[in-house]
Amino acid sequence: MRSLLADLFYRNAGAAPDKEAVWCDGRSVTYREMAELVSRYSNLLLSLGAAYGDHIAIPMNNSIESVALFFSAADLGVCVVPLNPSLPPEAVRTAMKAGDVKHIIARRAFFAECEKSGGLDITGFAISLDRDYPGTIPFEKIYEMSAERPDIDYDVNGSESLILTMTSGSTGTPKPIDISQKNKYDRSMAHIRVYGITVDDRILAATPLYHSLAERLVILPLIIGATSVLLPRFTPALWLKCVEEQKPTFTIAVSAQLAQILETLKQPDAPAITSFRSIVSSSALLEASVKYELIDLLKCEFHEMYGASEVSTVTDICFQDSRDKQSSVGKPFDEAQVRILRDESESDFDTDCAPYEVGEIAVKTALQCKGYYKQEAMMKAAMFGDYFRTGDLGYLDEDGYLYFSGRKKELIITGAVNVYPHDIDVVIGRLPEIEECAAFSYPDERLGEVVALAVVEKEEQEINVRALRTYCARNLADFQQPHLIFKLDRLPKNTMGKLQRMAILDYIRTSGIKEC
Amino acid sequence: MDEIRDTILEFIEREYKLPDDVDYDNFDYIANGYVDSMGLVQFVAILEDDFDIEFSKEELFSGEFRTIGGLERLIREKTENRE
Repeated sequence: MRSLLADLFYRNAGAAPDKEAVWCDGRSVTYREMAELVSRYSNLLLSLGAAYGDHIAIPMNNSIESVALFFSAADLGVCVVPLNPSLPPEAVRTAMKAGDVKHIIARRAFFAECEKSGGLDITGFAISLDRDYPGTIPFEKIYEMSAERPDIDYDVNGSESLILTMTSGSTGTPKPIDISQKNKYDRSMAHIRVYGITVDDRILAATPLYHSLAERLVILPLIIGATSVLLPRFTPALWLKCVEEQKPTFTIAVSAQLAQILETLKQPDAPAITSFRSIVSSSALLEASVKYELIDLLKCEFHEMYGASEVSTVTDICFQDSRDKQSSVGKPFDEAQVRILRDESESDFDTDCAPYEVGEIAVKTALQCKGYYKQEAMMKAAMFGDYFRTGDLGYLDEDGYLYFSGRKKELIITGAVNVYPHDIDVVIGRLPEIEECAAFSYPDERLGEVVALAVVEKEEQEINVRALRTYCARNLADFQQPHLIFKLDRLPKNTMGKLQRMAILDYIRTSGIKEC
Repeated sequence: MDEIRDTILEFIEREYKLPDDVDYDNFDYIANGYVDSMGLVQFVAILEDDFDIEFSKEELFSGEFRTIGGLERLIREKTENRE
């Protein structure tokens, strides 16, 4: 075997060359065409000097070419570092440094934006995906490449890094989640088993490909010979149109999307959706009423899962099969074991919670990532023995079902995107008129949560809110933008002077402070 | 193309290129997912700063703001009025 994922893909292409492999944005490719594209991509990378173990960054959009890059990387034993295309240049440079990036593939506008603020430190090649840009190689060169799978004279054993997912990174130390090809394969196989996915399924991915969920949803169908339906941009109407036309049978959606889809589905002119046999909700708990209405309208099996990028899916529940466990996120996959850890300050030794006692959810699983790339200490700090501390709170019942209660770590999840508030604090805290500031989670009907910002002005200084918004727009990524800004006289802190981020919302509400 | 359209397109096409046959005047870039609710906050702040203008709440929720042509007109009116 040469490459776990690429071998399976090429085998499927050989067995059913005319079958539809991927649909995206009105374009569809067969397995034969996809195999040719993957091969051309590999030949392009090799011709430009990509070597085994090299890291290639790409501000990634959802496209057939992006999917091809994953398989090409798997075939050559190189690693893809997908970036959110809205990251500002400073965050891009930080992420690229943390991910040991040698080469880059990006759009012309991205190179131009980075050039404005000092450029990128690239020691390898740079490919421009759209228009020409000085110092880059045009992506069109791919069509001059051979469509034959290239021969390589080294082994790809599957334990190499295949994808580094950046979890944080405007400032400070990003945590690149290191996923090997073997990780991706094992995770795919676990999902295929649990959800009974077959070669006849059409699997919809409707989240960005720079997140692990969509990566899983496009890799999985291609290694079993099924079809991937990739939605390029999400709005509830675009999702419904895609589902109506492409008739997917399975998807894992994020709960914030499902809540918006339900609203659109309830409109009188909404199409009837009948193609799904199974839908899984992930990322955050779905409100019970949303869940029941969706089950009623979509008439398919409805699951909820719990997981994290570091450990993949941990638990799953099918609601039609578990009527008496409706508020649970389910039982662990066969690969996983869950413990609920009591706060260490209360007990030094007996750290397991009793049934129904809330503690931190910790997971031991065969699906765990390789670690945080070159951040061994950070990964070690996240572990409790063999168990990964998720930073989430929950409890188990007497039957081993897991219930999610909230988050322990300071994290804002907006439209299923994890936002680390400290990254925002650091960038905004650089402004001279700010004494202190803190980003925090604010409830939002559409996105679940949005980023809000509390700022304290320095004495005799005034913050110009418009200038502050402009500064945010220029120096933070789109998902980090504060939707609401509040001026406070002080930030809530404990007696040790530590910021109580979770208390800011209460403080604002009880003090009657209005948005600026 | 002028500066206003260039600035709008630079942001809208950050991730995805618009279709070749796009009708700029009537293309609803929000309904077509080119700018989502997170990107919109950033987009508005950048436009206001680049052109030294301010959008009212009504303008932000108007149909005009949602199309490339409409947004272009809106910005042009505001910059001309300022002059």
